[in-house]
Amino acid sequence: MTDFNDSREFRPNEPPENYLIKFREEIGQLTDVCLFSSYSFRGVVEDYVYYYLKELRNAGFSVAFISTSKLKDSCVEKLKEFAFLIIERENKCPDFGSWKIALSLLSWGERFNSILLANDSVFGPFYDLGTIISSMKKKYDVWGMTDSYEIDYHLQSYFLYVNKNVVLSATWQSFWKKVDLSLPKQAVIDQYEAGLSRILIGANFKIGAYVSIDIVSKNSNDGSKLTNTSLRFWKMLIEEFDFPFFKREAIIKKDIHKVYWQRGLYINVGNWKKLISEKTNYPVALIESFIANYFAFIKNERKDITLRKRKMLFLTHNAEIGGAQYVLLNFLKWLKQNTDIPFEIIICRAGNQQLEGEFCRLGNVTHFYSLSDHEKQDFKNYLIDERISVVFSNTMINIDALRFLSFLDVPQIVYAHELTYVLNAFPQVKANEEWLRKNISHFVVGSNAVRNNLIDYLKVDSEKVSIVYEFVNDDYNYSNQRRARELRKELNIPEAAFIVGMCGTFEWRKSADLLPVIASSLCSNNSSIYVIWIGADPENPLYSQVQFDLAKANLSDRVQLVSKQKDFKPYFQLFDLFLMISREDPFPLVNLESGLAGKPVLCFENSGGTTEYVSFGLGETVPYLDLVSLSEKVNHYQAHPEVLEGLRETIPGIVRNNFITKNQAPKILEIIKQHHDITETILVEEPSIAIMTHIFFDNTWEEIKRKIKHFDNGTNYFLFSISEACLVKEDILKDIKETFQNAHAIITSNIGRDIGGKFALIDLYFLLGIKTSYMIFLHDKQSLHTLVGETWKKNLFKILEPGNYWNIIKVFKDKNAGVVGAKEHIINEYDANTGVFRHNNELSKLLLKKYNISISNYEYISGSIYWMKSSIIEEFFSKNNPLLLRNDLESGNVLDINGNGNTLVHTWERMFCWLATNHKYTITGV
Amino acid sequence: MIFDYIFLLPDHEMLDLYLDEDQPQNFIIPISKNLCDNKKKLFERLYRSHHKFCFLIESGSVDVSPEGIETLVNSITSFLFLPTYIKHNGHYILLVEDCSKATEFQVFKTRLKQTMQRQVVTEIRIAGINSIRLEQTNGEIFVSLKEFNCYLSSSGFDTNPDNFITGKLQPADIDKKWVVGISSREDFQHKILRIKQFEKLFLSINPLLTTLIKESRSVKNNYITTKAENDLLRMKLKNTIENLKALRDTANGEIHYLRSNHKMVEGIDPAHSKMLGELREKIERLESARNNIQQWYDSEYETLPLWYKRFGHVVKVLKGKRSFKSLFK
Repeated sequence: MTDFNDSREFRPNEPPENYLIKFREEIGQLTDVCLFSSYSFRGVVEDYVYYYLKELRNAGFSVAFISTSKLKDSCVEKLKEFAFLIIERENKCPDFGSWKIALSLLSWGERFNSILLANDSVFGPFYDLGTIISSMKKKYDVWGMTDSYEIDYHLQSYFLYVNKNVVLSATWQSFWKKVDLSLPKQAVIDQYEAGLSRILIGANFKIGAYVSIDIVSKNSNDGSKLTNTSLRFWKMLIEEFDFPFFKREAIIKKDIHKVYWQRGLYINVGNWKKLISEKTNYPVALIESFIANYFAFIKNERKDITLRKRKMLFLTHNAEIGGAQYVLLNFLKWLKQNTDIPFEIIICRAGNQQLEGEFCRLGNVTHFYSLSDHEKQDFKNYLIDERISVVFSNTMINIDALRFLSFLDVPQIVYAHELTYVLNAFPQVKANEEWLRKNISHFVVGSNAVRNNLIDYLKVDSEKVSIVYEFVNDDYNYSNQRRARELRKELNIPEAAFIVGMCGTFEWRKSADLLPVIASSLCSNNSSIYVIWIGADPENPLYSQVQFDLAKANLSDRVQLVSKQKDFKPYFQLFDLFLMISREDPFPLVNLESGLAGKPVLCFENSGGTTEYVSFGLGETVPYLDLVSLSEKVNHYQAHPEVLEGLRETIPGIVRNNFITKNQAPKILEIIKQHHDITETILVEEPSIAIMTHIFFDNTWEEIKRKIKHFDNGTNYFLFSISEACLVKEDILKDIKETFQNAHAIITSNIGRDIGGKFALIDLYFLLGIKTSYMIFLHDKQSLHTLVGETWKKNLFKILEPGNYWNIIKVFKDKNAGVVGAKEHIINEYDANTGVFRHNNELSKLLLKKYNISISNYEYISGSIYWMKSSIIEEFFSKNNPLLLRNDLESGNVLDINGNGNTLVHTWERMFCWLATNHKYTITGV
Repeated sequence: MIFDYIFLLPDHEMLDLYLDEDQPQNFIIPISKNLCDNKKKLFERLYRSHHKFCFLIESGSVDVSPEGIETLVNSITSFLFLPTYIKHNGHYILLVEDCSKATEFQVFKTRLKQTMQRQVVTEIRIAGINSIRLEQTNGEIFVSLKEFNCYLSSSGFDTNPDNFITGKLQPADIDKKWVVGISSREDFQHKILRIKQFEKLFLSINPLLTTLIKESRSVKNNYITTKAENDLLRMKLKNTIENLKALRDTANGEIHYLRSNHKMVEGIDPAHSKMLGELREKIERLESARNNIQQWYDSEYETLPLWYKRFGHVVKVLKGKRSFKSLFK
């Protein structure tokens, strides 16, 4: 609380270094005066400030401009256009100190009708201030734009208007005369911002806010009243209250989004650009220009600050081979290739995940289904720091994940594929109907059939639904017949055969049960027709039933059941005709593949999106389940090869024009852009990290890749040492090049286990001239010689978890922190009584002496997986060639077990941490 | 390609002129003292390239003292770890310009090899070459064929490749890397073109031999790969056995401990007897796995020499050491 009994008074004639009048214009009587407090971080008044000053002038204010930074002469000249008084002062007691000095020079304002205290901490105004002021001044003696109960009830001081009654009061002058110019910023807020309101209320002045916290927080039971209103409710203020300002700190203060996170309140400051530019006439370029200037300035001081676009979050129900998954994958490949929008992927449900590798190449992948409650909380912590802009789900059935992610307070878009049968199979969709309607910003649908069903089934507002026909990549050369010929041979199908293709998982919806009947109808009286079904699942009970029927009908050699596989496209070259006999299907991608191969499609009427597909001139329909008509159509096409020949010429072009990624993906992006301005940038703290990974085993790569992919932000470095003993090194090399940006991989001889790898990687780090804040040392630890290897690995790998990322960065904020690893693995083998190390005693002492390491704490992280300040490594290895040190390491399978404890490999494992300790750094466990 | 060509670049300064070639090639890159000056750039360029390469240490470009060699090796070693560095039978290849003073050259080579071996463990093969008089090169790995190089340098068919193929080409040269010196980008492009013409001609003259050479190389490469993998598997098997032994010792210790406290365990906590059972099961599983690996290894590895022996006969025929007919006897 402020002690207002302080008798010290400000004297305008204080030493001249306290302030300097840069300009003073003698003008006649002033009525309404704005005391505008400003700080220009680069000595240049930003354009948004000039805009604000111009609006103040338009609202009838004469402006006294007080800057706590040294202004360039050109700025002073420009400011003269807007201000009658320009003061420079030292950067102490911000705002209140500046206002006090101006007031003291202006006889405490007693000649004015009103005084407006304002500062440059907001962008705006978005609307005419004159209108707001004339309505507010009728109601109150003192008023602000917002009020708050944080600290104590008060008007927020970035915009504070007082009328003549107040200015002439003894309370007013008494307050200002006691303002202590030496107070730091937080003390100013605590004492003066809250204090001024308190004494004015105490003096019975009428006090109020343009938008009161009591109104904006009326639906919040989360302690929002005790927050900074202009920040916590910035979005609602602009959206619903025609609020004229947006706090500058929302976009430049790096931790602003989690200022109330301990209370469970996340402040998403994303989407400001779209909101302000759509809702107001304010030129948002002024804000963007400020961000760019600020970034250019701060970058010199803080290398770990970057300016980037917000991340998008994409949800796939699983990563199995399937239409919805392929559409998302195609879109993400396109997005990565054509934009610089960062994104991550969440796999919501368990499955075979055959496509996970492909997703992983595009972005960090998280398995939502495998997260424990604790891990989900860590994941939330991670996501809020990733500054997500949009959540995009590839189906509606990801409802659990969508609800979980709603805390992000960002637009959620769903690419819906489901028709009635599937929706019935997932009752959680219907059960969450209300939630979906309310919280999903937009539905993209793959066909009209899905659109109509969505509107009927979930009562979704039709305006929220857009059709983007599903799409495939046009990346297979259907004119190359070599593979088709091989396939025909493999399947033992005669050259002259007429091949009818079908496709789908073996289930009722796909009409797999009808296959024997259709095959019988087609083949029994026609010896030249062969049938191929792609996607047959031998595990499914229907498979054996179908086989049973085919055998009885003596059709086993005429019907080929091909299991689900990635390399399915060559089969479409074999087909003469494609039957899509699903009872219900939104918009099967196999139709499109069939089209690219130039083959027409036959389908049942009223079976979903295929009827729309064929309406493009790509095939025909027959009445629902009318197998006789279906057979007749097939026979007709077989009898008229010239028709098929003609279609083969026209169909691919139609498909290319309407259903391929390069045409359809931009449509999805356009829909996303309706909800988020993808050009919006944000300042984020992203310290550069070198991830130094050694791979030895043949079966660990996929796990390692997945664990470290989330570090791949375009600025981090990935250095890999793959042991020549790894049998799959060529595959890993290829995958590294395809998966990671800024990656280098070397093949190292099998010496010194992971320590040998580390030395080679440090050499590579120097060779490439990399400079980072941190290094993460990692290897594919298996510890096959112990019973607890898996537990060791799990513990050690904790430092790679996305949820731990910010925890670790936070640890390193302590300048003494040098190494961070798993707390379970911090051990000390030194016995101070005997002066002996339990393992590697002789070599430890030898190396400590050789490298002049004098420490008393011999803790180290066993397992050699940890984060380390790069400077520690840079300092030591710039003097000691890592490759020469590598020379002496033992080769082969050097085990660290009882009785075998004196190896250089294991001594160096300890030495890495001791290098840090030698520089007074600490080793911290997480 | 029927033969294995390797292009000797004029220097390492203008690499981009050659590394931009679409078709993957092999290069000998001469290095000198100033390698350290643009080591990063060279490394990055070679890392991003799909071409294979090995280094040539040029005569007079290095300090031959032990310290000088150490510095040289420190500069080179990082490059050996590049996936595209050429190996021969699992050994890194390093060419050294053969100077006339034979003794000094031998001393330098020995010192270099010793220093290199200390750094990378894997054997290194140091081959001599004289880049000025390339035609003199005929080592175990590299050969420079004078007639062939004349043919490449010409623009027409003034040198009859037919004569070269039938009269000059020695069977021993077939498996070697044919060194082709290049002086400029234009020279490089020209020689690539001439090589294509040569190969076309060779194929038309000797279709059967071409097939045999290609098959021979393919089988030989398979053999080298399989042998290398086999060595690795043997090493991994040895590691596994060591790991299993260590695991068994640990488990035995645990079991012994549990047994010695059996009564207490029975009396106090049934969970411990469950743990004992689990440990026993785990040991049995591991022992079974070890036995399976041993059996697999015995059966797979022992078959290799016989297979290679058979292939060896074909190689002998190609090298003219055995008649074709004898294969069918």
